[in-house]
Order: sequence, then C-alpha cells, then structure tokens
Amino acid sequence: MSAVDTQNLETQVHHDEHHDHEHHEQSFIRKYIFSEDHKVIAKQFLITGIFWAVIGGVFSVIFRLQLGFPDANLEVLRPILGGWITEQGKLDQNFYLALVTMHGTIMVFFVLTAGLSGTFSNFLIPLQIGARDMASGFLNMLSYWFFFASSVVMFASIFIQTGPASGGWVIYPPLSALPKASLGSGLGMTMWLVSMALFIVGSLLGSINYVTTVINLRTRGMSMWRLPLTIWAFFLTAVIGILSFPVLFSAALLLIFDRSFGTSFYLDEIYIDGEALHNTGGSALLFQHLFWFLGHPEVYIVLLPALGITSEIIATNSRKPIFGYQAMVLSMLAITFISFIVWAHHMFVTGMNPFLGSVFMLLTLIIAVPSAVKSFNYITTLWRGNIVFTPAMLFSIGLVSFFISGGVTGIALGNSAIDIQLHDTYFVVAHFHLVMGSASFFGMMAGVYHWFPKMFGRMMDEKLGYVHFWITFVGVYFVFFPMHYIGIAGFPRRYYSWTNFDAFNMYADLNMLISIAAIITLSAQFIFMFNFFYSIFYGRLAPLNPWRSNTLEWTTSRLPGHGNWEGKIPTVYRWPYDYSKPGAKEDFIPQHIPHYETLESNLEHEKALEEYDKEVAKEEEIHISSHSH
Amino acid sequence: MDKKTSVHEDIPLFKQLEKQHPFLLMLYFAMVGSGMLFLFLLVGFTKSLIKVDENLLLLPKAFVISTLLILLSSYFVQKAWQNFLTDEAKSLRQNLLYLLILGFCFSISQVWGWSDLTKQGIGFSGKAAGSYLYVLTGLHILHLLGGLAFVIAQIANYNKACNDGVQALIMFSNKYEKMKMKMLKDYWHFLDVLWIIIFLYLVFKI
Repeated sequence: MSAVDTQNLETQVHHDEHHDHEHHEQSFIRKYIFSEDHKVIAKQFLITGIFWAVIGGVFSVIFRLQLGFPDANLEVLRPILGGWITEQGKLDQNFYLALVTMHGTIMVFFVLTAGLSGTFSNFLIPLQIGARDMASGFLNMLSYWFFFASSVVMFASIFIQTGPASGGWVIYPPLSALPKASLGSGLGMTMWLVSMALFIVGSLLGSINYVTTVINLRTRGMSMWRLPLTIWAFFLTAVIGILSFPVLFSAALLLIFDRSFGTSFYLDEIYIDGEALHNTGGSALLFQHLFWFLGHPEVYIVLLPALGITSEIIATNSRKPIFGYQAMVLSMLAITFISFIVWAHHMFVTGMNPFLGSVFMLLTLIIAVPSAVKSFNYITTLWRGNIVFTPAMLFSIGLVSFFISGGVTGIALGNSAIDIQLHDTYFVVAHFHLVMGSASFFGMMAGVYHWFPKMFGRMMDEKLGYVHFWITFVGVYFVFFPMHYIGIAGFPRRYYSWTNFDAFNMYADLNMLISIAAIITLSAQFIFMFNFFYSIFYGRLAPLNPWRSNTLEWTTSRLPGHGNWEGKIPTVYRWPYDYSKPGAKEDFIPQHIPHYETLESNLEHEKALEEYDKEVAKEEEIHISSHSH
Repeated sequence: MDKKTSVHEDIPLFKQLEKQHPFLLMLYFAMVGSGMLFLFLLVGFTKSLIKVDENLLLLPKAFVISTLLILLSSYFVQKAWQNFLTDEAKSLRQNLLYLLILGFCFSISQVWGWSDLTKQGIGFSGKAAGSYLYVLTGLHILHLLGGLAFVIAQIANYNKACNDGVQALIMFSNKYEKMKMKMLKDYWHFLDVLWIIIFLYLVFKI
C-alpha cells in the first residue's frame, strides 16, 4: 500500500524531468536494430541466444542418435545433412567430431555467455541499480554487433564443404594448428578463430560497460551492500571477463599466427608422413595453460549470473529475506578469486609435476567451500518460507538441485589421483553438464520466466511453464545421471562408437536411454519457445509488479521506455530483501520506500534511519524544485 | 541483517572510483584487460626461452632508441596536461604535436628494430622465442596507433581554441574536455609504462 502511495507522490512531484526523453520518435532502425537502449540490446542478446540454443541442442541430439543407436539408418537426415550421411546411411565420422565441437562452442560461448550474461546483465543492471541506461550506450550496441558478426561467421562455418571446426571446443594444438591434421582443422578452424576473436571483443566491451555502470551509475542510496544479488553476480562476472578473456584472445592470436603465418608458438618437432615440419621452439602445452586460464573462469562467467538470478527469485518467491546476504556476496567474491588459480586441474594428466598437481587439487577443493555456502543459503532461504511455485521459482530450485548433484562429483574429480581414471570420460561430461550446463541453463530459464513481464509487458503462460519445467528437469537427470556410470566404466568422451569394445556392450541400453531422454528434453524446449513467442504478442497483460518483488525494476511503467523511469529515478532507502518483515502491512517493502513510512515494522537499529531518510527525501525534493525553476 | 543497513561505506579507493567519469573508468578497465594480454604473452615468451640457445636472441639497438622516444613523449603529454590546467591553448597544441611526432618516430623505430631482428636471422616465422618479440612489439604499436588517432582528434579539437578566446574559455572550463585530456594523458602513460616493462624484461631475460 505504501508502495502505491509513494509512487503516486513521485509522479505528482516530478513531472519536470520529462523534457529529457519525451520527444524525438526514433526510426525503426535506431529503435530495434542499431539500438543503444539496454533493454532492446538485452532482447537482441536473448533472441540470438535462443537461436543458438536450438542449433546447439539439435546438434547434441544428432550425435546422441549415433551414440544411442549405432546401428540405425540415418537416411532420413539426408535432406538436412546431405553429404554428411554416408552411403551406408551412417553419420560421417568427421562430422560427428564437428557436431561435438560445435555443440560445446555454441553452448558455452554463444548461449550461456552471450545469451545469459549478455541478456540479463544488460536488462537488469540499469533497471535494478536505478540508472537511465548503461555507461556507454554506443559501446553496448557495439558489443552486441560484434557478437552478431561473430555469430554470422560461426554460423557460416557450419555450411562449408570441409565442415566446421572439429578438434573439440578446447581446440588444442597441434590438431588445431595444422590445417592438414583433420578435415575440420582447415577453413572451419580458421572461421572458428575469427569468430571467437570477434566474440571476445564484443564480450570485453560488454564487461567493461557492466562494471563501470555498477560502480558509477547507482541511484542515490543504492550502496554496494544494498545491491540485489543479481547485480553483484553480474558485476563479478564482468570482472572475471575483463581479466580472463584477453588471455583467450592471446591464445587465439598466437594460434592464428601459427596457422596462417608460419610461426611456431605451439609447434615443435612435428612430423607429417615422415617429413619434419619447419616449426621449432614452441610448446603445445602453453596453449592449454592459456586456454584454461580463461576456460576455468569461463565456468563461473557462465554460472555466476545464474546463481545471482536464482538468489533473487528464491528470496522473492519464498517471501523471505535471502539467508546470509553478506555470506552470499563474500562467497561470490571468493569464487571469483579462486576461479583464477585452479585452471591446471584440467591438465592433471598432461604430465605435470605431481606436486604442482597437489597444489591445484587443494585450491580446487577449496572452491567447494563458497559453493556450499551458497547452496546452504538457498536451502535455508526456502526453509519455512511461504513458497510460491511460479515457473521461475521451479527452475531456480532445479538449479539448486543440479548445482549440488553436479558439484558433489566435482569434489571427486578435483582429486588428481582419481582424475587419472576419470579424465576425459563420460564422468566428466556428466559432472560439468549438471553443475555448469544444466544449472546455468535453468538459471537462464528462471530469468526469462521471471523478467518476461518486464521485458515484454505480458505474462507467459504458467501451465506451459510447469510442463516445460517438469519434462526438462526429469529429462536432464535421465540424460546426465547414467553418464556417471558409463564414465566410471571408462567410456572416453568424443568417441564416435564403442561397438568395437566388447567390455562396453552391456552399456548399450543405457546409452539408448540417454539418447531417448535427450530427444524428449529437447522437444520440451519447443513448448517453451512457443510459450515465449506467443506470449510476446498475445500473452496476458502484466501487472506492474506481478511477483510482489522489492527491486527497482518493478517501479517502472509496464513497458519502460527510453530512460527507464518517466519521472525521477527513485531513491533507495533499504536493502532489496525486506520480505515478510514482522509488523509490516504487506509481506514486501520495496527498496524505494523510506523508513519513516514503515514505522510499524522498523527494527530497533533502523529507528535512526527514519530521520535520515526524511532528510534525504527533503534534499531530493529541493533538488527537483531547483531544477524546474 | 543488522549491519547491512548502515548508511556509510568506507572504501576510500572505491569512493574515488565512483566519482570518476564512466568513460575514464572504462578506459582503466580496458587497460587492465590489455595488461592481462601482455602479461600472458610475456609468460609464453619466458617459456619459449627454454628451447633456444642463450645467445641466439640479441636486443636490437633500435629498441633502446624507442625507449628514449616514448619516455620523451610521456614528458610532453604531461606538459600538455599542465597546459590544459593553465589554459594555454597554443602550447597545449604545440606539445600535442610533439607527442604526435614522437609517437610516429617510436613506431618507426620499432619497425626498424624488426628489420634488425630479421638481419640477425630472427624471422617472424622462426623459433617461437623470436616470434614473441614481433608479437609483443606489434600489439604495442597497435595500442599506440589507437592513442595517436586520439591525439590527432584532440589537436583538431584545440585548433578552434587557439584562434578564438571564447572557444578556449568554453573548452578549458568544460569538465568533459578535461576528462578527455585526462584519458589521453593516462592512456599515454600506460603505453609508456607497458613498453618500459616489456623492454626491461627483454633486457634482463635475453
């Protein structure tokens, strides 16, 4: 109730700032294509991300067909795949490798980095910190268009005759450095590198913008300790991006030189057909160090935004303050820091010094501590809350489930001795698909369901959302849980077929089950897509604050225009998690409600803030009136 | 939950950052990113040294000249900054012009260093350790050319101020202009420090 009062008050008092952003109708191109508005850019990232997710998902199902049904005749796919189906009706072996590689690349970079972080950092940072837009709208636009250019190059590489890159998403040299090494190491690899270079530039432009916006453009009263956890997560994600993507850039740059300019950064004493190449003095292992120095933090670039989104959604829909706000922030800070000093756990079996291995093992296991803090805090937030099961809430809880079940196997994998047995088996595949792949994907879905009303001014259909959730949630476990067993049995990843190994025959059924589950899970995503695109146009009109949430984005109009707030930007008086505060009239008190309006629920230490808030409000009013005269 | 509602934060460095213009802050973060790029190239270079003979690599003399040139250019950008603070449009433009010339000379001197390297038998596509010298200096020149483009834009900008007192007054009292000049100054010092670090590292490693 008090929320409504202040909103009215604000619109009455602050009509004067309208002149900033009322006139000048923008042309279609400036408004929807080359837009500098963070909300439009966010939607561009989201829709491009969905496009890539479909491609990445379909790719996975195609190679799952080969793995689950090795004897099947895939002639039906010839209209789509053409020459990649052999005359016997089998999937071409080179193309199988290309599918695996592209699935990884697309999902990690194009869907979960650009689609997740790009969408929600762009959309939520200005709206939740109370800013008109990003620090630089132009660089923000550039960031998307670099991503778009990178997408075009990567997409084109799928259609070339020699196929896209096929050396695995980690593109280790010398396989990737020598165009002769495999079919996909030729033009496909070149295009991969060009695309990634563009992607990195776009990602860096975005990250720099996010960090600066959070530091510089917070509204009055929005101290760092009053930021919603989403913003903390996006902020730290961007910091990781700034520090790690340049390293991938250097790795890619040196690889480009090796491939096209005859240098030997990664090459040393290589023989092809008995003939020595001229390259000497390089180190293939160096690439792995450079790659994983990005590659590991990349896991957190993908995961942290999902964790942030989940914190916000779980607190809102449990109608309870988030448990351990400061612990959440500190654990994210710890994850950020530790993520930079664990990269060599991807390289335990490269022949590294066992002592070094044990150091990296220790550091890796330490990451379990902040991760566990976060898990406990999610669960304790849910504990005895008045839980509202919206689709977004279900996906958030699903994330917590995957984060735990995938994280537990991480503790096993992090041991350098166990890794000798499990390295590059399906156990690893199961681990990271649960903890980072599915968890982040669920975070993204939760975010879409939760902020769809703010993005498009309409509601998504809840029932379809529930169907989507349950099929996906059960499906994901059916896909990835059996992989643990296959991995312990020693199945190596990225292999085209195991039919030559008698020992693995007994797992044929399990593989079939996984493939069927994968097909069903992918199909369920089309329910989401229908719901998403249908609701954009025909969904129920959204109320202003459909989830009764505290954060600032819900104080804007149904479809905020350029500049986000029609009047003045709201001032912030409290943290974002005042849910079910004892004595309060409603079970939520938004951030822009001053303490002098909530006398009935103020705690002992907040009494001092009543006076303080009054002064702040007065100052703001003086500020406004001096503007209008 | 108790302490969260406290009104004041005491992170002085953070407070300072908050007060900067966003563009300046973005430049700083971009410099951090660039720094990571160069740092890891130096790591790669160090690793590649294991595989070459000690006396294969010789530091080209041109690199010493470059070092002097860029040090001198940093002096001029600092002078230009002083000129901005004391509203001296003419000498400001003059100093930026010196900066521009020195920047170009630096680039030429670096390329001259490359030809020295080639003469010593260290080609771009030879041993990896040698190739790193080209990549390190090449990327640095690219960064520097970006800076030079900015210098040219600034010179054009101050041309107006030189002939018109009113324009000068507007320009020198403009906070945004001041921030632009500060960006130029800080970026140029960054380029300077970056090169000095690379140079000293090469001197001690080769």
